Amino acid sequence: MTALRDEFADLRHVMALCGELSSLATTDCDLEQIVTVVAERAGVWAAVVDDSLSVLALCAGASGRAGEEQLTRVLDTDPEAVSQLVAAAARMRRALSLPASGASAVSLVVAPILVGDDSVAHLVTAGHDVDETGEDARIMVTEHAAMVCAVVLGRRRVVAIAAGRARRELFDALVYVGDRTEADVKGWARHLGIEPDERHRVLVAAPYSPTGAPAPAATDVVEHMITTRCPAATVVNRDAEVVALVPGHDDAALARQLIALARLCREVVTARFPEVRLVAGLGDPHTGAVQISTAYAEARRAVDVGRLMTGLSDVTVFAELGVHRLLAHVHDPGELAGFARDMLGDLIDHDRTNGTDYCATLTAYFRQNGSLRRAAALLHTHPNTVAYRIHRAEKITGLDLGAYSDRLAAQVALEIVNGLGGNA
Amino acid sequence: MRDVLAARGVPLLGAYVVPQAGDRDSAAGAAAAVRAAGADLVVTATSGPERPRYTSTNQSIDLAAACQNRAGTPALATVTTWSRTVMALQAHLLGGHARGVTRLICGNGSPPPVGDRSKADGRWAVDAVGLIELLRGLNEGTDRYGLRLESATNFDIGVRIRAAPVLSAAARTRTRRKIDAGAHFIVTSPVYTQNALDTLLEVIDGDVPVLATVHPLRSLAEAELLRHELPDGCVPAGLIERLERAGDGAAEEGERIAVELAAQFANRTQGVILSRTDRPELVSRVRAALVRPVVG
Repeated sequence: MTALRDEFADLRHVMALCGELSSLATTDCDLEQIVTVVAERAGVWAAVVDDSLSVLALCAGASGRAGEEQLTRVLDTDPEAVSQLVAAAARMRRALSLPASGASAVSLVVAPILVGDDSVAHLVTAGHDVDETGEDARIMVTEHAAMVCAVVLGRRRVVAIAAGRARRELFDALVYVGDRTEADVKGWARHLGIEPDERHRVLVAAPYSPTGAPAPAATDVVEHMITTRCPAATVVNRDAEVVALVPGHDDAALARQLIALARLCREVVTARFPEVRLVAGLGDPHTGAVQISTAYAEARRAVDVGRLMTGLSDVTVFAELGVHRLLAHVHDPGELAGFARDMLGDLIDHDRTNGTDYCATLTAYFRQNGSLRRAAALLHTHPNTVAYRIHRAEKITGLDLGAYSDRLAAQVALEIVNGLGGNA
Repeated sequence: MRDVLAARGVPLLGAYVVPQAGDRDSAAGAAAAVRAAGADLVVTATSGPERPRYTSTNQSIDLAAACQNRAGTPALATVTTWSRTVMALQAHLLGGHARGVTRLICGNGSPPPVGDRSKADGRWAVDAVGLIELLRGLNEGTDRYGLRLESATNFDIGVRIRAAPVLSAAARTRTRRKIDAGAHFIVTSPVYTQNALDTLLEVIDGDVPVLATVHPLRSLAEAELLRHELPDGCVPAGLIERLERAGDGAAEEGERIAVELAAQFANRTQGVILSRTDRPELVSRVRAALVRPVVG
């Protein structure tokens, strides 16, 4: 009888908690408030995380900061298992559980936060369930709280779509409108939340599917990631690409931050949409709103080069493009490949057929400004071997690398070969 | 499970892993040891003699994941429905599926011994048949409410069924219901006589593969206890006499009997599962005795 009474009390507690969560959905609450209610009322640790397990909101109830650190440890203890769970929750669109284990000795319940067709984040609760009723209650509360999070995020998304449309139009005006005054530009920038005299860089990230069709889900993921990780950025989702204009006076530090962010976006997009390739480009630093169009054009050019030259770095930086800035104007990759084959076709075929490294040796030799010793060190071989290989390369290609024009043609051809990722 | 069955040319050999407080390392260690001794797979249990307290179905799934991922040993997880709602079962099953635990043995489970829990009141929201139906639904892409899933699961659904020399009409009906509900294979309760296995095989009628469980008795006292607890004829008098004659060597005699029974049962089934993983030498001896081609 006592057990029955206890269970009835548990049930009323769960009903009250679900009722409170439902009430939150009617207010202008944020994710922090939802996880706080779950954590404090259910006596568990609760967090909202995104696909990469970055914590968007967190509350450890009465255990405070120590509890929050413990929850973070739980997520880090077996990241592979947690990642599998989160990915499966998103795929199955259902709550999943991971049992207590190891040093953490808490079990996890993961419920996807579903907005429309997308699983935009995940509600994770961690705790010690004293019995099966507690376990049931936690699964139910986690599912319900995830639904409330979805209501809140869905509402924000509606607002964001309207705001995003306005932002896109303003940004297009900043970038494309020709007959504009400086006052116009500054005004549009202010509407976008950009200080007109700030120093900034532009990052463009564009997802490409094999069919060439748009990949709006991937674009949304990138927009979400940049917005959450770079709050100072002005982010515009232009359907085919995400543009982030980021203020900052430390040019090098900002470049490092944005390259790291772009790489993270690539990893997440590749994991969630294996068929989609995300190409990111970073423009040079500029000062003032009137330079935004230039900064965008540079980042966009870097993306175009990165898309064409799959062998280049995963995030292309405009300042590092070198001769590729010019090569990118040749829109037909076949034309570039044709030039490379005219110059180095026999050498490429020889490498493929015989397993030799003449192209790699030539690349190292040119990049080390013709130093046999430095090229040899780079290739972990002897300078005489490098000299022999270069001599052989000259014989095979018929090029005289001592002659200015032949050397230039060979260097450009190698840039194309390496940029095209071996597709020449 | 079907892929493991198809991959072997000789009867399958499995061994149970009994969780020690959900210790992944010890489970993975035991799995690696019996794998090295010749076992094809391990079965993780929800409870066992060393841990009479209630242990979570979810932990059985977790230990199976540890055996597979850390020891590279194919694992079957035991899933029981005692005191579990369908909601919790589905969360556990999908969580396990996400981690590669797709081979399951369904059972009803049983409450822990009285006094071990404050609320040992025994409740079943669903029985093993309900669990099989839930799994079949997930495999067909529908959840517990019949709503579509984005992607279907691929569980191999096993079910535990008691083998006894005499099966009542009700027991025969229950067995058929489990097969009709969608079980892909059957794992028997520990079998101590060919008669018990034959009776069950007659009911199954070759519809699904069968793995027979063999429990090496450790003492005469254990055999006597089981003879009283199990239905008549499950533990034959001849077996009791052999253990009695063995005296202090009863445990060794129990292992000899287990090897003999495993060899016999392999004749009529797709393989055997040993109830203990603490004796890899016994696994090796049973492996050596299983040389016949798979039946059916």
